[in-house]
Order: sequence, then structure tokens, then C-alpha cells
Amino acid sequence: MKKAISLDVRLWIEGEDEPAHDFAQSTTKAVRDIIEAGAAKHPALTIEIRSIGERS
Amino acid sequence: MPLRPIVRRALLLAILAFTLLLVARRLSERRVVVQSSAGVTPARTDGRPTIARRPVPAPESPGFEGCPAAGDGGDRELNRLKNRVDTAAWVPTPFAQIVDLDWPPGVVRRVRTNWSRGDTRRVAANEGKPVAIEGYFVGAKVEGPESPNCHGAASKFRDWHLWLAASPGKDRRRSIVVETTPVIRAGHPEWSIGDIRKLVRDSTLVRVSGWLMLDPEHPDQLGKTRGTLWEIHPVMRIEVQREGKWVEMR
Repeated sequence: MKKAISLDVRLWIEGEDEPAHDFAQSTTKAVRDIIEAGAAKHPALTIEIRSIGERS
Repeated sequence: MPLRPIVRRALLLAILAFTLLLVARRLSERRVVVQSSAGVTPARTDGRPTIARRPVPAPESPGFEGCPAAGDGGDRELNRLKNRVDTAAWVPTPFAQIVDLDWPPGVVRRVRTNWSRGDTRRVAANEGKPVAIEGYFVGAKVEGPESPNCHGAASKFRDWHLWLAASPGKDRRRSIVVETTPVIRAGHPEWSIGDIRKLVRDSTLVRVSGWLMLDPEHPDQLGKTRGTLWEIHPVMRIEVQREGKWVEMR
């Protein structure tokens, strides 16, 4: 049986950065990379990132 | 060749109608302000309420502990407004006047650089007014890390998100969001979130002064946890009523 699920994941990310550097942009890219790298470990699943946005 | 009288009359009528149309449009754009004994109150000329027309000073925003006034991303123009530090003579303004102010739909969830010129003008008619509003705090929370504060993780880099309502209690549906910012709180070490929560519990009448600012990012909260997208942001002064007198919050 083919299944599908839509998951909302809430992350808290901390790190050192220059004050004026766009932290939202760089962390969004990092999360994309992390998910894509992790997806390779689960070849039976097709994982598509539909949206990543800062919670405000 | 001379024009026939009927053609000449038609031309004159057309010019007159065009002139009248121009005058009518100009008048509908004007907003008249009426002085009252309590200060300055607005008159409505085009169906849209505005508050006291006074010269709006340019915001001064030096930044805070290495974080520039424009923050580290998001709507940088909005961030500059949130991080302003200049002060003014705060104009007593009725609560209802702020909560009933409108805004152009085209600005909602849009960064300021993408606003139309007309929308920018409409918001500017009220934004940046120095106001003082009486009411009751009905909630208080420390915000999470945000772009205006360079996503600083420490509590000193967080805004305090306060809800001001016309009557005490817990109902935030018609509340006005008023926020204290890190740079302003650095000059008010006597302010504490615990004391504000006590004002909520005690239903104490307060007077909050600061800059009127439109935050178009949270329309989803309207009618639930706020009554308007207009905020007092930053809050510059908090007074508390004690025995019929206004005293600074300590």
C-alpha cells in the first residue's frame, strides 16, 4: 500500500553569526541541506520539502 | 472657422465638469483635523478615520549591541521603525480611535518596499504618530528571536509582546498590541515582565506611550488575539494609575 503524510516539524536552531547577517536565510538553507542529506539514508521514501519558513 | 454656439457650449460644459471632478477628487483625499479641548481629534472627510495630524518626525534608530536598526533580515524598513529610540510629546488618543483605524488591504503580508505609492501614503497618514493610550494590560509574553533584533537568543534581545485592552480581563479580540524593544528597555531597567503580569492580574489602569506603527505581518490574529494591525511599537513610556494619579511604572 502506498502511503503519504504531511509533517510539520518545529525546530529551534542556535549558532554564532554576525549580527547583521541574515540568520533566517542561512538557517533555512541549512535545514534544506540537512533534510536532503538525511533523505538519502531512506531510499524507500520520497521526501519533498514543500515549505520552510520562520515562525513569527 | 468660428465654432457653432452649441458646440462651444458643449465644450465649456465638458471643461467645467472636468474641473469639478478634479476638485472633488482633491477634496476627498484631504483629511481635516479638528482641535478639541482634550487635544487633537480627527474629523472624517473620506470615510476613513485618521488620528491627530502633527508633523511626523523621522525615526532615529542607532541599533543595539551590534545589531543594526534594520536587523538581520525580513522587512528592514519595518525593523527600522521598530527599533527607533527618539522621543516626543505623546498625544493622548482614545483607545477606540486606534483600534478602529483602517489600513489598505494591499499592504498585508507584504514588505514595505513592495507597497504601492498610494498604500504607502495612506499608511503614512497615521504611522509615526506619537500617541498615549489608556487601557488595561490583558496579557504579556516574551517574544522569540526575531529579525529586528538580529535573532539574538538572549532574553535582552527579545521584544515584550503586551496586549492592551479597553477593559480588564483576558479578552484580546479588540486589543492593541504594544511592544517594548531591547534598546528602549536598556534605558528602563526598572521595567519587568513580572510587574506587567501583576498589572494584568490586578486590572490596573495604565497609560502606554510610544510610536504608532502598522505591522502587516499578522492578519491571522485579527479578531482572535488582536483587534488591529496598528501597534504601539516601540513603547516608550508606561505609566500606572495609583490613587487617581499617573506614576511611572516601577
